Amino acid sequence: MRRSEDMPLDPDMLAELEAIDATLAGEAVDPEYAELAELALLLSSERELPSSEFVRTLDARAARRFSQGAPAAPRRLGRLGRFHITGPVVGTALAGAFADHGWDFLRFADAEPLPSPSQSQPRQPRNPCQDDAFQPFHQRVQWVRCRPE
Amino acid sequence: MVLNRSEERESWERLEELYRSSRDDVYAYVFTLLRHRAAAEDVTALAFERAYRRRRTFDRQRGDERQWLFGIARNAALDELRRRGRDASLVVDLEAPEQEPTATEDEDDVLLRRTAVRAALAEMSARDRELIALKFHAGLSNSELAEVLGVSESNAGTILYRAVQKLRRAVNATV
Repeated sequence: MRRSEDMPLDPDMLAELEAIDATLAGEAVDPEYAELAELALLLSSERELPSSEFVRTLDARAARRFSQGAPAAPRRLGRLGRFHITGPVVGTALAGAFADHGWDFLRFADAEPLPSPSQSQPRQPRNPCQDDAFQPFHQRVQWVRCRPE
Repeated sequence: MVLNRSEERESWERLEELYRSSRDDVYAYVFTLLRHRAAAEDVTALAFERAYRRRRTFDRQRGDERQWLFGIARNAALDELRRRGRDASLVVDLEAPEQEPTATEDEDDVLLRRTAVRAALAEMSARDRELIALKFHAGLSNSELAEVLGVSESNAGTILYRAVQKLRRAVNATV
């Protein structure tokens, strides 16, 4: 015995479903289906759109997510090509430093000491919104906290 | 499954395109199911997060990306409904639809029918409301709808037809 779900649709049923599809596609339907078409339009007009604020926030988070995860476009320059560019740049910089300071440019003893950890800028707190771009939305409290300024 | 660099990049581009083309549809579908703006926002975002995390598991042979995404959104919405079931106090957080602006006499009939449609939608079972949401708010074809619900296309057509008939009767009884 065939299962009911495998049975072809009744022609009247099929015609009504096609009338709904035609209405949603903006096509004209037979006057016989005018009432059904009106119902279909009323139903589709009940479609709720997201608020612009939510869209803006979600778009920004999606963009961040995609920029974090997507691999970079393949480099056009091979290893040799990169050397051809970086070699002369480094050479020019070294020559300039030698012209200004002679061999002193190689000395580090008189250089400014690096700031100790206590002198350096305080570490910026980790922004949870940047790591898991979509994640905070499912908890309303975090969602509010992570809204852009 | 291991993707090479260009395949990986292509999958990212497809996911981004899917996000752009389906964002509002996913929200509209989820909103109709949950009838709550904040919950619909959370579930929409969660659906895209899950899609992002599971992008490698997408199997093109089992359907297109849109069906795959709506399957994820559906599960996220059902999780939310189950969560509400456990916490009945959240159910009272339903939002009333916004009031229509004052209408002219000519628009009264449309307003009346619109109100009747909203009332009938609110009275529908979750299953029937989901069908309406997938068809009229997310814009899925019957074959896409069938994939999301895990039924055959003819079965999807039959249950959609029945849901529309119920709605039709309810609206006609009110107006």
